[in-house]
Amino acid sequence: MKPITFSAPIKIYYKPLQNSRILWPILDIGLSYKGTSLSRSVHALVDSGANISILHPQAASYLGFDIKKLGASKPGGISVSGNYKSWVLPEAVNVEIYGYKFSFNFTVIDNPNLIWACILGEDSIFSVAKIDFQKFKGFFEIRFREDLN
Amino acid sequence: MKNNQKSQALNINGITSGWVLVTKDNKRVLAHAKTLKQLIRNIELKGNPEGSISIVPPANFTSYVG
Repeated sequence: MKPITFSAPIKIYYKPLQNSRILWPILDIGLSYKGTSLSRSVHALVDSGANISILHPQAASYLGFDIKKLGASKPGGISVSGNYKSWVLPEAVNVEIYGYKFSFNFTVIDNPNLIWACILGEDSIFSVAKIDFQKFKGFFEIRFREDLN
Repeated sequence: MKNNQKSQALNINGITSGWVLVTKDNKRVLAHAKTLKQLIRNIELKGNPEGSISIVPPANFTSYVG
């Protein structure tokens, strides 16, 4: 297998969410789809425990996806708190992370109370970058694959 | 090692739900709205300040497991 080279590490400090002292591995990412983009970056949770990547229903709608046209949400998702229903977006969404551009597939969880605009799981950020979590130091480091960008 | 982020709760008095635009250092709220769509409008009305979009978790939020 051809060896993969990586970018220089980018150090990112864990951040709290509003009204909470819990510190999270969060990336500021840009989201766009077919000419529509969020005008500002979005806090995205880096979640190695998620095998898929998630968009909040409002974020998907803003980008132009008509959730109603996708029909009823489908069962089959399992989380630690139980089962969930979701929609799989029919096309990939463009994601920009620290100047690196990708196209990722997303699932929209049928839960308007989701506290994340975006969750990046194993099928997105973990497929394009090497991530070194150092919670004990308060930061994580990300190195992007150089064979993709 | 110094950890500037340690034990810093982002304090947004009176805001307990909805969407916010926070400063890049995650210390101040620049815009707030009930929905993402309205937040984008509010950001434009405020002259498009730089920041990141986030969701305000419930006030009784103590832990999270995905």
